[in-house]
Amino acid sequence: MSAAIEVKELCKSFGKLGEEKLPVLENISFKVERNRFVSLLGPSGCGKSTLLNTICGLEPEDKGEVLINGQPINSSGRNPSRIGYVFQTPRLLDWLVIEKNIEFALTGTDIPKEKWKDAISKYIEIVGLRGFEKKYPLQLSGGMQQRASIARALAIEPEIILMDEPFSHLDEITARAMRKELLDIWDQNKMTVLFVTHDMSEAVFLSDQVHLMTRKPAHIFMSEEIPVPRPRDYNDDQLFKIEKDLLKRFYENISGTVTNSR
Amino acid sequence: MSPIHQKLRSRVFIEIVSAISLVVAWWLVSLFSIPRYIPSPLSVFYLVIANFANGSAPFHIYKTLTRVIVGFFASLGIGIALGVLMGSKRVLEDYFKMLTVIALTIPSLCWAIFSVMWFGVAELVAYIPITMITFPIVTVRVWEGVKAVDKSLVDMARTFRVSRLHIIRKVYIPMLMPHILSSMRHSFATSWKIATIVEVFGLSNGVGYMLSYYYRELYVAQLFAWAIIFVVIMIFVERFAFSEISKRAFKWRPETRL
Repeated sequence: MSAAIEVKELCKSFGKLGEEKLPVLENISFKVERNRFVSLLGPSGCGKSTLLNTICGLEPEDKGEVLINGQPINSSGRNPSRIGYVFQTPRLLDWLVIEKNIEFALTGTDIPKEKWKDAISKYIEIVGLRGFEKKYPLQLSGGMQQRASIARALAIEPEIILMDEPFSHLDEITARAMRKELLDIWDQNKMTVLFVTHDMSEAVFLSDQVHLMTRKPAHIFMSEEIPVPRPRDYNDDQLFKIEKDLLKRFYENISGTVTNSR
Repeated sequence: MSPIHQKLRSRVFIEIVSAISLVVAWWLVSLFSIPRYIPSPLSVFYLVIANFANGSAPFHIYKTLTRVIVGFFASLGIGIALGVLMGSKRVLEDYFKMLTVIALTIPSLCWAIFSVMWFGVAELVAYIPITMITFPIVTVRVWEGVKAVDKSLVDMARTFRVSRLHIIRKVYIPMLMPHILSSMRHSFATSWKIATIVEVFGLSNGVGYMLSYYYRELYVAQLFAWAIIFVVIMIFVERFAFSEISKRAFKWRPETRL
């Protein structure tokens, strides 16, 4: 059986035609097996979002290949597997009520129309927004808006969910609660999660596996399994130890690349 | 009654007071002048009633409003279409930029005169200048609006594989609504000014025509009466039509919820 996501020697650079190109991603390769929770961790601005955009077909790859369930995803973005995306900010349409925002995402799927209503109420319930279906996004708090955007990503019943620092704009208390909820949802609805973050403790707490990325041009310099059984606890010493160890190696590498490149 | 309603009520009250104070000022001035030049508010009010009673006011208002509305919608259609094209295609932007600037700088009077010369007394005489003068206003605002579109929302829609048609309807148009609405207000206000100018020297009916007619007769009280009829109707349109549209379009904005 092929992996849910397979990235092969992916390269990508930005820059207008004729100008010198700025390499962003350099030879990135990794696999995410089905139903796993995998994090990509790297410093801010290292190209993590670009990587996610390429994986979901929003941006074309310069070199290399992205396979979703063994099938190439090309720049036109056609791929039979559904991919949900949770962005750093909620990116809701402020002029539509929450349920219409979710419906908007459903119009992009082949889920039959008569099932939309059930899907919408099911996932609104799961993210704890029951009673807020008819509210506009600006009537909700930041945390609730982000929940709504998670409901939107879940409602299309994706096999794969891409998350781009979804909790980085929330306060730590809300973020902790939402991480727990996310793990519950992931556990109940078998799916593959690729989670991008710059927060080591978040990555270690959530993931089965963490890939560490360098600064631009980014490549993966280390991949680590997190063999801690679930459900996990925030105060688990074992998690703490892994976090400390990974952080140490992460900084060794990051400072190394800085001196090399300057 | 909720405090919000009270606040709203007191604001409406102040507006009414301000309108009344204008009438009072006019009345005071009229006390010290010759009625032939500055008639009293009451005598003008009688004329307004009389104009409605004998059917001349409804007829000429109907004529003027039709011209305004036809010209207004034509300019809205052309303006939005051109603005969207300019905002989305670089070549078209560069091509039409200069033309729009030229169109904006041609004095309204020129269009009115040309159109009377070319079309004589046909209704086109009013439509052409209204459309030509107001569509660049709409074009410029919509063009700016398209350029200011939040691309992150378009990207969101694309990651969810939402169709192009849906992206236009649910993402682009709502984002352009503030620009479209403000240009609608502006171009409507310009439309009726042009309609009256054209009526003054090119047509034989409409509110503008009545103003020029009584100017030639030097009948100041009727000039006042027609001006007032016109102002009241335009305030009515502005107040009820436009604020209703914007209330509907922006009910998602917390600050407009009263």
